[in-house]
Amino acid sequence: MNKSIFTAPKSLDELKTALSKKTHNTYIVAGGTDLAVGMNKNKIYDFSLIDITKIKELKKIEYKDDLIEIGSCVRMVDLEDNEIINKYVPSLSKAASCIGSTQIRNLATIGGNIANAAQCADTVAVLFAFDAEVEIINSIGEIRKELVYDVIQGIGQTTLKDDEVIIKVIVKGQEANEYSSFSKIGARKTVTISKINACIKLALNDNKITDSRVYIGSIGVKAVRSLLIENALNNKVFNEELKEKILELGSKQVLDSIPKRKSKDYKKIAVKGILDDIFCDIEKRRNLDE
Amino acid sequence: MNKNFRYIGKRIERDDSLDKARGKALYLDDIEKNNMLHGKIYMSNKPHAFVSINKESALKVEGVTHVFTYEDVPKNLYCSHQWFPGADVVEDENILQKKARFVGDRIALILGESKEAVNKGIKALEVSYDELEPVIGIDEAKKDRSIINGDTNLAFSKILSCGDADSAFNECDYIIEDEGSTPKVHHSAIENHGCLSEMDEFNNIVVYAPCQVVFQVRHIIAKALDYPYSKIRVKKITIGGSFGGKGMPILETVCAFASLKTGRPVKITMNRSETIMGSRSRNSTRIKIKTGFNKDGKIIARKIDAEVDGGGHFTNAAAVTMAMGKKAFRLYKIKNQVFNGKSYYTNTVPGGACRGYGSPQIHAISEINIDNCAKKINMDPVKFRLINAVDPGDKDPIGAPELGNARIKDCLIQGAEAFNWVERKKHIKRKNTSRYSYGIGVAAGTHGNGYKGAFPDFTNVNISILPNNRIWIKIGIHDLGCGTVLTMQQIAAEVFKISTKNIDVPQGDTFISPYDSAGTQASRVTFVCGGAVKKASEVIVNKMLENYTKLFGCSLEDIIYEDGYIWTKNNDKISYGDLADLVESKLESNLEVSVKYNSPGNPAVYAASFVEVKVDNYSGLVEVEDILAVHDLGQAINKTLVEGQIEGGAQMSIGMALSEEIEYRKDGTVKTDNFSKYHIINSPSMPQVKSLLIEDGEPGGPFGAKSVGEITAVTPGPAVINAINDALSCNICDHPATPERIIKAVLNK
Repeated sequence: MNKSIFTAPKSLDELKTALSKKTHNTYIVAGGTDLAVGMNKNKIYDFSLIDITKIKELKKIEYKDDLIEIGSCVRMVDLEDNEIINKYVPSLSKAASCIGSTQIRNLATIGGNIANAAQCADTVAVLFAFDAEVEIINSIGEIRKELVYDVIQGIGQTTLKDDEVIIKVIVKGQEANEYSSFSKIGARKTVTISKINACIKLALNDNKITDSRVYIGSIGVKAVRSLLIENALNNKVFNEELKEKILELGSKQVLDSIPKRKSKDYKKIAVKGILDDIFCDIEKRRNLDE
Repeated sequence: MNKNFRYIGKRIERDDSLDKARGKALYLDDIEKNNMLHGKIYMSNKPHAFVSINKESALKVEGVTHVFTYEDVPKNLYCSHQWFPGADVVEDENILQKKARFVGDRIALILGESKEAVNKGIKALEVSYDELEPVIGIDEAKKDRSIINGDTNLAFSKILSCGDADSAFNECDYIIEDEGSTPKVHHSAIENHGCLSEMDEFNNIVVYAPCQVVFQVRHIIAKALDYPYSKIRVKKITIGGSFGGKGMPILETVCAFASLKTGRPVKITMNRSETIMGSRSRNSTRIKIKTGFNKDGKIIARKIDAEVDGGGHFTNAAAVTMAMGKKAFRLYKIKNQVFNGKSYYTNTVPGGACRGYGSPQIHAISEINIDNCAKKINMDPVKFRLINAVDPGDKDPIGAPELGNARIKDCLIQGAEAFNWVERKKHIKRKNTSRYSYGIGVAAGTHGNGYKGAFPDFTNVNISILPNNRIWIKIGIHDLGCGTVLTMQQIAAEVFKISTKNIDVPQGDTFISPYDSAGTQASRVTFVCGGAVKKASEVIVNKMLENYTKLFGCSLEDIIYEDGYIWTKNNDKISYGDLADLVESKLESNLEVSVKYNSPGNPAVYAASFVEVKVDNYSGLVEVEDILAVHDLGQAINKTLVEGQIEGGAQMSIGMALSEEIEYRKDGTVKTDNFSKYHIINSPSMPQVKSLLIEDGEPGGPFGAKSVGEITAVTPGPAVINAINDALSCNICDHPATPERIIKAVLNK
């Protein structure tokens, strides 16, 4: 029988050491909300764990040189309530607030949401739209940076090597003329896994959209960038008429992305719901600004 | 009716509420026995297969003590649904199966010194399957290509009828036909299944089971193990919800077997996935209804074809089909009606009781059909129902017991008024936006009060008055969380004129409780067991008074008794307990009676629900904005308990209407094997349920009371579906109305 080792490094240095001793059945745990479920399901009874939540710097949110640094062990509930995130990446607060139950949000972390690489991961669509990067450490203490978009390769697949751990997420916050929002639809109103989700980030000059990023989740192995919608948004006036047009393009995007999946019949309509939510939310935020 | 009650109807607090709220109540999982073995069932991964098992590798796991399979257990077939030896059933279950009939069927038991060892043993066990073609769903069963039991997958069929429906259809102005389906539903009790057993010093098998019918568990164990009834002690322990799911023994036989075989206490538990896949479910159905009526709204004829998915074992294949059929004759006056019910074996989780027992299924489709009939002649659906609803004292057209004080019309009339139905109906569309559609809906329903008319329905009660002023009531009840104990306490308290706090009602224990014929099921407990407690309380109070006259030389008329004390003008107050002392020392007797009580009837209960929904035109998500549930329950014994039932029943019923379904893949595996995939209505989605009680008294019931717990899960769902159909002008009949189905219905309009 394998010996089970449970370690909880208190610093990146200790983490490095722990990673150097990692075996094939050692798991990195932060919130554990996916890991524990997976271990039960897959009947994994002999295992070792490295708990990274005792490393203080992984739990910080900091605003540094125009960039927001989010420690990988920052929990969903922290993202939901944090002033910096609320101000500079409001769609991330929104996405975090929609994940699972209160109990889940009290444990689940942003690093875990990325590393788990679920098709429907809610914070991921936002991180894509913001071109967020992650910092990754390995067992010899090297730190590398990679776009979240590139880290996630497919469902449950990432570029993370066996001895690597995400330690930080770096996001450039939105400017005063930028707006972003997130919405999702699941099987019910709350405590639900996304059937489809999306994040839109817009730059507005007066009423005119000068730049946009649109990502739709759960219509591909990872959130899909919709150039179709971005092109329709750019250089247009942000109004009700544009919204109606975007809703239709949302349906088209779904059909383009999953032409053969049975779920397309539903998602092509449901996508209008989330796009409508996002438009209304951005409209509301603009009115608050004025 | 005298309504000056001291205890009946009052919001008295349960004895166990604080312990439960503080996590102090002891459930199965909290109970440990010295030298106890832990056990886990190895459940089949294949839906239809002969199983061979190599125990070696599992036995090698450190801490694993035993592995049992079909080869090791007695081969006495039984039917877990059979609650008394006379119930006519097909016996097709073994303690552990040789042929697995669904994913989740019991094929081996692993015992070990710890849970961890047992889990590792389960993982290590080598099982090979000789697979047969799986039968998933009613359509596949009907083909009879692959047979699950006997020579056809048709498990049961029955026609119930009155009048001559076929020819009466010719006289109708209109005929409306609908066809719909209802899903397999998981009970979602917060406590999963478990059982603990041990051998006592007299070689009795003692079984601690969170169960609904101790005498059924005893019967099934006696049958499976060929062990004397009198040496099996089944104790009902605190239960974390049942809703019918813990009605049939799932683990009790195998647990008892393991204790008998090893001589050690054995505890077997299941997790959520195992409980979803391997216990019982509400039967799924496909129902076709054809209703003929006249332009004035009077129903002339109706034909119902109901197909039931019975699952892998026979269990309740006959019972649930009959239950569905019988309800169809007790809500509306339909002179010509035929119900044709068939149930089929499939390689899915076996059917079992589930709150409402067939009523939620039959009403799910029939109440949609009633709305469509009303729509056809542009009549208000409440009015259409009122034209056809039964009246108090009506007879059952197929010879079942009379309907009793049937107050469905009051439910509809008073409910419509309280809901402001007419006004809301007029203006509801004004709320519509491009994003949301609004609608309102109504549905009516009926359910029973026990088994009278179909099966033996009697119980025995033993009551004593004990020296320290305690009233001890022994009756085979099982509090499933509904407050059954308190219900009995309040009924007795009213007769005794003593606080419920002085009354103890131990729950079902085959070594303590006198025999009860049918257990805590079939909506019989308040009506039958409550009736029995009332009767026995009256008998012992009379005995108490007679003894008092002997002791104090007074006449009955002189006696005053109240609040646990008894006296006359000339004699000081003494407590009932002091009197019991005197009776023993002076009269060489004790204050104890045993009474056998036969159910006086099987009246119907009625309900109507009124709801408003808001449908998201894009996501297809439905919000129930408002719900009013009106219940004809005769008399509430405890209003807080009744409201709890109504709220919980609404939650289950809305769940069946909108999101709950045990889904199977074609290969027979379960898609929705946990609560992230099996969607119950959670609290943020749950509206505040308003309730309105029609308390007009049922003559045969204790203080006029009849059942309420099960019927609460009948009408909210169909009212929600009718409201959705109203909002979207469509005709959704398949349950649950998931967002996908709603969007599809809108697109196909």
